[in-house]
Amino acid sequence: MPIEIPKQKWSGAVREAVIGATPEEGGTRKKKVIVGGQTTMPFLHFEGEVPHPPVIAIEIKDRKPDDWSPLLMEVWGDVADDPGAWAKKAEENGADLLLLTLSLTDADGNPNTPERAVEAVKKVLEASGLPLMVFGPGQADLDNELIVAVSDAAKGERLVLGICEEQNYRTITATAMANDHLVSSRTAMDVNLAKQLVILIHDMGMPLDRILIDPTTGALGYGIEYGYSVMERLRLAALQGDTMTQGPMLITPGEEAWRVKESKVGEGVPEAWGDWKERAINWEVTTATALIYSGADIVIMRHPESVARVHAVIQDLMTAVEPA
Amino acid sequence: MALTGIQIYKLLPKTNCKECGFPTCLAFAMKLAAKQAELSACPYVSEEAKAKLEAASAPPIRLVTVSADGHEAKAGNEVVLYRHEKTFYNKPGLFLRVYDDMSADEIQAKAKPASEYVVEYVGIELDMAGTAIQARGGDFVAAVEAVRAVSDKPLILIADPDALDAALAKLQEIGIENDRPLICAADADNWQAMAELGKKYNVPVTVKADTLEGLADLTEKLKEAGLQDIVLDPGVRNLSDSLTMYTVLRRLAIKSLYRPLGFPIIAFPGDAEDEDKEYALATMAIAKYAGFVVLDRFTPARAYPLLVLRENIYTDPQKPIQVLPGLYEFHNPGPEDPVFVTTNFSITYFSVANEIDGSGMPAWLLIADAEGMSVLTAWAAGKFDADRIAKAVREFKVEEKVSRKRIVLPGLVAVLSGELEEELPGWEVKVGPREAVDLPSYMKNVLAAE
Amino acid sequence: MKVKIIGENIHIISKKVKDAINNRDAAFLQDLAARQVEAGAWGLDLNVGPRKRDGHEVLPWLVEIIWDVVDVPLSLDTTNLTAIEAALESVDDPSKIIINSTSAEPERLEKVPLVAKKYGTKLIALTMGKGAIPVSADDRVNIALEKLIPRMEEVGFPIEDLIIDPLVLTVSGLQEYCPQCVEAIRTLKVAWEPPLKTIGGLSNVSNGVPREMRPLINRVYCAQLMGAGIDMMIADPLDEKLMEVIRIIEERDDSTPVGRLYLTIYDKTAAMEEVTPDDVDMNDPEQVAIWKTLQVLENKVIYTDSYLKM
Ligand code: SF4
Repeated sequence: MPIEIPKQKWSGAVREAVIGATPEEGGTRKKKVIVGGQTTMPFLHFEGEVPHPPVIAIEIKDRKPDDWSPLLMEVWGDVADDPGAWAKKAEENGADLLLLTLSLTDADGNPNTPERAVEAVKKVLEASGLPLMVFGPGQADLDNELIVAVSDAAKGERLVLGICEEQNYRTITATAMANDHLVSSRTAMDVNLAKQLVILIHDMGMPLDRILIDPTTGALGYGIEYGYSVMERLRLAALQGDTMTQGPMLITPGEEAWRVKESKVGEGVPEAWGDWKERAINWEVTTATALIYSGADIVIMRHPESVARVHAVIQDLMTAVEPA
Repeated sequence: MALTGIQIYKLLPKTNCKECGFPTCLAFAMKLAAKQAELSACPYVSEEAKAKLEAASAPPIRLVTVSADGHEAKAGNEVVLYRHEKTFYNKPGLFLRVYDDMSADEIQAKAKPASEYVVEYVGIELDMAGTAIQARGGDFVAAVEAVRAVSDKPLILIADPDALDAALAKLQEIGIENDRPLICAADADNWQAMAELGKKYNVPVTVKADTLEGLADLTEKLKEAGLQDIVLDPGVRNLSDSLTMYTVLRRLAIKSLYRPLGFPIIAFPGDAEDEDKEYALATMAIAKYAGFVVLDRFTPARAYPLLVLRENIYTDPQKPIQVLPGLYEFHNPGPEDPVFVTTNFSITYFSVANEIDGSGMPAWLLIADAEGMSVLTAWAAGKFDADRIAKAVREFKVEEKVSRKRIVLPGLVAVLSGELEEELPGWEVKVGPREAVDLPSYMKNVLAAE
Repeated sequence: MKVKIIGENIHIISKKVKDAINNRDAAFLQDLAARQVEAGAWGLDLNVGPRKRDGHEVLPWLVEIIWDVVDVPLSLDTTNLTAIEAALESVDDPSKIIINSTSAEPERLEKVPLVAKKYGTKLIALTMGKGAIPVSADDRVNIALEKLIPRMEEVGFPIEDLIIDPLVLTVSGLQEYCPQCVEAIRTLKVAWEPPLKTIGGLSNVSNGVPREMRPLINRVYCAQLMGAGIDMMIADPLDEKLMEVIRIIEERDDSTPVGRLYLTIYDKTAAMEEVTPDDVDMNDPEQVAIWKTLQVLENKVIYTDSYLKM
């Protein structure tokens, strides 16, 4: 007796977003990245469209970070003082796009300035043709000051600007609207808040196809189950037609995974944790892949070995299979 | 989907005659829903209701247990596709595979460390479920003996029926209590012999076929032969086909209530050609519905994250992980520094701790015992009120640590400030931001400015 | 059958009430009590908070001054059992007192029913044990069947005087609990003989929701809870629109389109059927707002503070 394959009919779809603009489109990027467009839960090709694979961004900084794991500095240490060189190396290591996070201070502890931020962005744009995202250091006033300058200086590049948060989204949204960029909307592991911030940003006049949803996720072992379920719920709502949850989802497993003890610390940890580097890479890979199964579209990572492994996962998952 | 108490009640006579031994039809319905009563206890159920209830009462995915000594690996009894809909119940066991063409020494050198491996995560001990042994042209019985000499954990045996027969007899001879391995695999050719073994030794049997119909056909045959404990191997070995088939199997079982495929799944990441792909397949198997997972490569640095992922995915969304109540320190706080308070729900703790830590400013963080609930839920449930907070202040001797008595409440429970002032005379009660992400700016702009 | 409204306004959360209690300002509290009763309250909830230091003085005083002006049942809403006992000692007719509340937490379940039994009061019992509040209706009902009722039988407390509260929680943040609480009421109503009485704190459903949106959410949820068969609600009787919805449902007043929609919500909830877009006139903004609210309360659309604008 033939078995009827249970297929779900969804009324909604994930919204497509285009990041980066080529010279014909008013930017200087050599390619653009398109994410979203799915009409099914992740990679269920048999019941809907999965037109674009999730993409991986490698995170770089405007100067040598003070608090990154030595394991990361082994890889990036030689270029960490030059954002242009770092960008280039990230591109060589398989990034689909780049995230530049701006530092709070310079190496001497003086607050970062718009001039320096713009300079770093320009270096990155010159050194690499990949689409770019730029996030502030995460302090409202400084974020606004830096991101506005960056936004103006890179008008037309279709950057993703962040971080928009509930208490601080207006300035960044306004400047992104004025200069044809996108924004990333970040909320703390909660479906209601995630949806609400999209509404607020959209209310300012930002088109929905230029709002990415960063639901924040937690790392493996540190709350990932909440992030995982929040993402599944948002994606289910999107497919059921809730327009405010249909934006592509952006996640930061690199930052999440590399800040936990399992990745940061090599000594004085239980023997059962095993080899430091192997464990740290697995931590980042596991955090990223688990979240890809729950709907991630843009995955921001830090270690090139992790990036290669997650790329392989995505490639395999993009093979369409008909169940029989 | 399983029926709720009220849905079952609607099918009962609603007379509360008590003959079933329960005071009301609803009380009986609740027991039926919890599978703690038999429908036959009510003499008055209509035939139609009986048919409906029986169809709904069998678990959509049969529970299959593989055991040995005091160890058990259980799979099945799942009721949802997404964990937030209820929870995932039975964590898939991870089995490390050895082959019978390896020497006894090699087998033991591989199986023993994995079998003995234990790692602690938030106070829980995590371990591997057991060992899988596969025939590959060597001495299967000897391989089984070699494993049993170093491990009394559950086994998965993969061989042809004759070798399995001999191995199962050997296991009986060794005589470990409850030694009930899973045997692999019945296919279109050997299913009769496999069914015989399943019955003879009372062990669960894996069926393997490349199509859903092939699988369903085999399970029906095994059921006819009198076997109940069946495990499915849909023969998929890549990520894309695994995700597709596991999802379809889960949906058929749970949404379509398709009985012939209502069994747990076994996954073989170990068949992957390289270690990275094996790891990726294992991640997928854990997140997406496998019940047993067979691996070929073991290191602590691989096992630990996989076991933690399994723990996270299978955490009951309603029974969150807790952290220990107490007074936590950030950046060597002194007697002048502020005291933040929040609940012992792990995510609440992680997010608050992260932000305070990230602020770079010294502070105390008091974690009150709110039975693992988030701030809002705990407050609604009366588990995070002025009384409990004051209790925590006393219990963890906060007054001995600070001279400037400032306590900062989460913004979500601003309403508690009045009561807390009453409970904590001499304290300045402040209301912090509603979201943890706003703590650093609050610390900088409000607290530090005072 | 009519739903009994227990007025919620004498609540320590209100600054004015708190000051009045602290200053023993009887007139203010008596006025608040009288206005609620005039507006249709069947009883009054007196929430004084834990009040460790002087609860045993405050609560008897409060009961006395309230009963000086209104003759209605009073619900003593505090975790301070000593204060409750002091109040019970001071009154002539404890049968008009409702103790609010016990739960299934061992410590409370051990003590509170004994007090209720000793004085012959009514007793509200929450379907909540140690640990998180269960989401599903069945889990909550099971707490009633397996913990609360057995304890009442054990101490000989009459089930007729027991009032089960399956805990109304806010749609803002605890959205998945909202439809389950409606189902819990429905299930509790058939769970026992004699039938259990049920109660819910209606305004809790909109805790943390922007002030201007709260009344609508309360009204729609009220229609749902009534449809499920709730007996009592702790609610704001001074909310005229809320009282109007209750009147419409109880009198089956189908003279206005909006009233008909509330009746439909009530009827369909009672019949375990879904309200569909066909039941709603999508050209009427008021009906659309009710429909959107219902979608959110049924956990079909993710709640946000601006759901009405979507
Ligand atoms: S025997 Fe049947 S009819 Fe009688 S109370 Fe039990 S369930 Fe109801």
